[in-house]
Amino acid sequence: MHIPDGILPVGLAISGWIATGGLVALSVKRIESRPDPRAGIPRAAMMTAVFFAASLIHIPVPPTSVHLMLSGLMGAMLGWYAIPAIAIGLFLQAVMFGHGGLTTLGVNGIILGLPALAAFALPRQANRTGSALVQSAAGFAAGAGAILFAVALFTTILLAGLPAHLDADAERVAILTLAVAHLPLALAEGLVVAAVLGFLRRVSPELAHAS
Amino acid sequence: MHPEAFADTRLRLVGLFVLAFCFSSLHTPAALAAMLGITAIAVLYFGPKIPELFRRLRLPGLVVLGLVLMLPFASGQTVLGTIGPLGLRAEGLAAAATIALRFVSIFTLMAALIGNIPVPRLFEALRALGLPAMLTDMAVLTLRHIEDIRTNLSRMRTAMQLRGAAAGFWNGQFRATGWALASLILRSHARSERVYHAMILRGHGAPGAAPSAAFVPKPADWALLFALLAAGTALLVIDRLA
Repeated sequence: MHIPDGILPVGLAISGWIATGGLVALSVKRIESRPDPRAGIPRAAMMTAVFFAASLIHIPVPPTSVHLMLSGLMGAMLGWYAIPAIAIGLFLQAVMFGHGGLTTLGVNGIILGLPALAAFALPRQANRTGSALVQSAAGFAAGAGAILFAVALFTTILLAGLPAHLDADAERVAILTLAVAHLPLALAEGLVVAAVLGFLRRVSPELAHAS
Repeated sequence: MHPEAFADTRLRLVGLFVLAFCFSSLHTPAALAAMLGITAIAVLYFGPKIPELFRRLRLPGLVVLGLVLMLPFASGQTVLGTIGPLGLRAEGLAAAATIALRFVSIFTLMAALIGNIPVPRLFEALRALGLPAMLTDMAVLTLRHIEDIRTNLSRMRTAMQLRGAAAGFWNGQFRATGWALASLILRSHARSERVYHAMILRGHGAPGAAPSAAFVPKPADWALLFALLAAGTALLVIDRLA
């Protein structure tokens, strides 16, 4: 779900950089206001590497297979650290694999960063209830919701940024196709994120949620 | 002048970003043709490996390929011809060609200018350009983990396949993947903290630890930056005038 270089108009690409830059600056400010801002860096770096390598995890979803994105998991586990972590992950994917792009790095940061921030709040609230079922449901919603939110942002930005206008029918088909194509991924990611957070809650609760 | 004569990665990054944004703003055939010419010069000069370039193009190229195949049939009013029930339209064809050319040029330019620079060196350059120390520390630590985590993930998948995890799709496939991933996170986290503490002891992230002193621009670096900026300006002028 990365927009490559060359598709978006330059104004939109620059706006994406400004928005992601602002979001990273806000995150860094929030992190630096903590008693020990460096305490979360090892976890953030480790999760960035997991995010980077997530494309290796293929899960069979008949008739095809999907690979994980894990932006919801990053949000739930890292909180504000997720934004710089995703920005670094996207830069690495662009320069090492050519996945995504340089000019579109800002837009891609918004597409994955905002859903991660949304996923930060949900498991945190559910944790206060103490109910395992609610916590599992929140973990699923964080994983699946982050994918669906990212698909909505991706589709909106892509259709708004195309250098030619699609007719209404084609636009409707494109939106529907993208949404349906990502439903298996949302389902798979929701289940995997719920399983990861459930495991961590039992074994190492301090790792399961952002502090 | 040999490409290795350029030592300052900061100036190369600045030039790359400016030229990439210039490329992505082009629309006219004349400017797009000039852009291809500049990309060809960069390839001839810096010599990225062509097979490697094609290999790297495969994955990101899929999104672009999807658009390039769809747009000529889904966008525009002027029908050039029909293929079965589909009408091939001029505006969509022009948009598809513009996207494809800009994508390939930016991708190739990036490979030519920074493809042979070690990634840690890129982060040192970004730090010297003002990226906060927290982000560069996070990036350097991430680089140390990537190979480790990729190897462990690969081992984990093999172990899961040997245990027959792929056989059961709905009953346990996702839970098994999630638990294996959680185990990997637990193991890696402990190691990550140890490595980061060692990095702090070596001075990473400390005030004044910016590696800007490691970058001393040579005349060739300034010449390259000037050439890239001049090329970008020329492209914008051609695009406006054409």
